[in-house]
Amino acid sequence: MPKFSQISIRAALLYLVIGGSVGGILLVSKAFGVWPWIWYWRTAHIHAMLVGWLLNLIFGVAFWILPRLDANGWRGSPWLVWSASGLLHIALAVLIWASIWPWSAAIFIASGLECAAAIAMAWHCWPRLQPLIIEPILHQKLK
Amino acid sequence: MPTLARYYIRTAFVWLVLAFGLGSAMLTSQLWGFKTNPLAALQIVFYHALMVGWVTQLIVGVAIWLFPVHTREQPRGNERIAWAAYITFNLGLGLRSVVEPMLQWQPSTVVSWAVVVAASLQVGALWLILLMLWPRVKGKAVKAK
Repeated sequence: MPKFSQISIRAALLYLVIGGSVGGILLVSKAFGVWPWIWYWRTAHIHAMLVGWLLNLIFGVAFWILPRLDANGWRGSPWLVWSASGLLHIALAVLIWASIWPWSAAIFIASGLECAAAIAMAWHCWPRLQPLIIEPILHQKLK
Repeated sequence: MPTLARYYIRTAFVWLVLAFGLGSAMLTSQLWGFKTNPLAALQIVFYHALMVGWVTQLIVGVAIWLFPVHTREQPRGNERIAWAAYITFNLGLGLRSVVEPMLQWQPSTVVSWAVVVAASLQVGALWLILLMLWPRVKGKAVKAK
């Protein structure tokens, strides 16, 4: 598993437990009607689960498992996937920040960053979505 | 496919069917013309059955199957943790699906405490999943010469 996938999948697992733990606290608050302020965190919970957990996991697994671009195992330029991941993390940080300390511009900034992350990831994956091509290695060509 | 992964993936499909059943019931109930629809309390159960029971459980099942092996002796890592995660995950989600709507239908102290138990089981399951999958997220092992 390449370095990017390891970091992305581990980040996804962290978002899963953190987002899920916030969800657990929300559920306790709902059961006993305590800590009403925790409901500001509902948006953070949803984004941590849908974007933090699912998208990071998908980005990590896609980079790892999609067909390679050549027989040497080249996955394409990694800067696009690192940019996509970075943009996604900044978007999540903005959304989580804004769900705790409300900030009206946050949703525009975060959605813009998420769109940019999606474009960068799609740009990376597009050429890798191809039928399996096995190029003969040099000594087979010589035979 | 290892037994563990089969359990996770099959149970994920059960949650998918349950979620669609709930979704259909909620949609159909809109035709009954209730003033306040009692099935509206099931909306949160529907979302969690779909996103946690189906999507997350399917992902974990496939990850158990396809992620790099932990060691030659323990290819899937500590299977006891994986089974504990499976049981707490489904027990928590199942209990939550029953007791969370009851907070609206028939609230009581017992129901509230049952919701706390369900929340604890679900959060515990997620930490167990982290513990189970974390060591398997790694690069290719370099063979010793």
